[in-house]
Amino acid sequence: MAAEKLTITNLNKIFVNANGTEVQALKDIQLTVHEKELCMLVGPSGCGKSTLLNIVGGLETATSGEICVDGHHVTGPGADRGMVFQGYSLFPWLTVRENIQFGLRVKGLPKSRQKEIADKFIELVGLKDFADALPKTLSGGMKQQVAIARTLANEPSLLLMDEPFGALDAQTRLIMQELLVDIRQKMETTILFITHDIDEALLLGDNIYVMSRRPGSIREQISISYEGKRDHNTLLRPDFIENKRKIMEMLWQDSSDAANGK
Amino acid sequence: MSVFVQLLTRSLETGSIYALMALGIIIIFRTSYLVHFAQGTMGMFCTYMVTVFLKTMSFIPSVFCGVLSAVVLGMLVDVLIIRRANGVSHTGKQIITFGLVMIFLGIAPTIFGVDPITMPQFINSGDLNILGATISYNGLFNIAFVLVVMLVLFYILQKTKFGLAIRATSANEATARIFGIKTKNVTMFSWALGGVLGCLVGVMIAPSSAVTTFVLDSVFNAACIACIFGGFQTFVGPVIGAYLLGVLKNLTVYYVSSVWGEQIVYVLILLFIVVRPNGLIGKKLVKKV
Repeated sequence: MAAEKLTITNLNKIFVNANGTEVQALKDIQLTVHEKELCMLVGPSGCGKSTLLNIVGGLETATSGEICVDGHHVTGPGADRGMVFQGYSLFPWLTVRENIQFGLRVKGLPKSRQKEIADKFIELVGLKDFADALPKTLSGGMKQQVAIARTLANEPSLLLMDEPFGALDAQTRLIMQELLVDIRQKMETTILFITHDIDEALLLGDNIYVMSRRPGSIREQISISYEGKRDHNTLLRPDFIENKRKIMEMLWQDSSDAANGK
Repeated sequence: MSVFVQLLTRSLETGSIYALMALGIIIIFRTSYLVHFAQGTMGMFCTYMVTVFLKTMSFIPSVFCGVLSAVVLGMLVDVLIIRRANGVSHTGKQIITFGLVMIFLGIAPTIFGVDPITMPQFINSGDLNILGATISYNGLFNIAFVLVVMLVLFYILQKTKFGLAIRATSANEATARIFGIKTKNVTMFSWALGGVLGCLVGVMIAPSSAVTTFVLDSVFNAACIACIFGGFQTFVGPVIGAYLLGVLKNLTVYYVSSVWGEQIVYVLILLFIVVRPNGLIGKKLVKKV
């Protein structure tokens, strides 16, 4: 059994509005991500997936509960956790290479070392010809590649991805998914990935947590094991389709409960 | 020719003052996403502080102490008020800065009295004659001083690690935090800097009138318009807007109408904004993720 990279125990998050009303976003979350695992978090819109990821990333704090990464409690942002968002978070005045070097620059690494590491990741995501380009000249998919490279260059222990391919067109999304599979093989990064796309979750994930609607809690955990490489053929496997049916039913059940006021 | 040079020097003086105030506004805006409506009023408060120090110290040390008190005041406002308002809506936060206007406008006469107080100048007397136009040495000093301050600030912004932190925070706060930038320090610095710049502007313009509770009002209004004119998306836009505003004002007041000159300029800027809503150096303000 692989070591536990991330453990979330009894996590709750309650938002208090300006007028004092309370909204429970997350309820009793128990979640474990093992080393080198790609863990998927799937759930309906508004169920709190992003809030949970932000809490793990240290951008928000939980109301109660524990989050441990590599055995240490999470109290704020840290270099051990990298985040990639859906929207383009690149610094517009920096080139591709300079964006990727950013975390290293903040850390204070010497310039030669910064360039060395950045070039390695530019190569990894396949943007060698665009190393000196500015973000505004890049397509959406390329910007996300830079965002991923920038986060990986910092060598985080855990990579957090919030619907990173959600804003991309369907074709680019497929290319990016393949890129992610490729990166995972080469770098063995541990990833916690949020998506509302069930196909994406079942295609890429080793372990899937299905969340309920708000207040978000974990409904189900599904372990994935396909032999062989993951590619478009995986989408047609019987166990893939069976899992998809299971998840769709859960999500459908949830939304009809919501409509009926349960 | 002498008229032209006179107008030019006066424009530079006006523009410099507006630029320094505008810089305070834009730095706070780009790091805290707030237009600090009390920028002028807090500057006024700190200018009064300088007059208090003047009772026991000479001019330069008084200004220095006034600037220090502006740093403290700015940091306190950020830590005690602005940060606590984190869950409030954006409009609410803006209204809070209005509230600060009321607070400082109320406290100032209570502490400092209602009589106007004179402020000495950096350079007491003497004029320079260039090509038939006159400019006081103090005026020249003000222009040069502002240029130096701006150069220092732009150097910090572009060449230092902390400047990188400021630019990263203003581009995308969440991303900056993830990469280990202490964004709280960045915002605290910008509020302190806003206070300092407001204080310096007060010290520079008070000599020509007096220190009163409304001494910085018209400068603040002009600086806001300079920011709108120059665009809120860059640090340099409002500075350019400020100098242009100074030039336009002085030209219009002299050549068109001394009564309506200012208003005509503002209407022209309004028309400009209709055509280019994002200002001179305008890029659309992209919503952050």
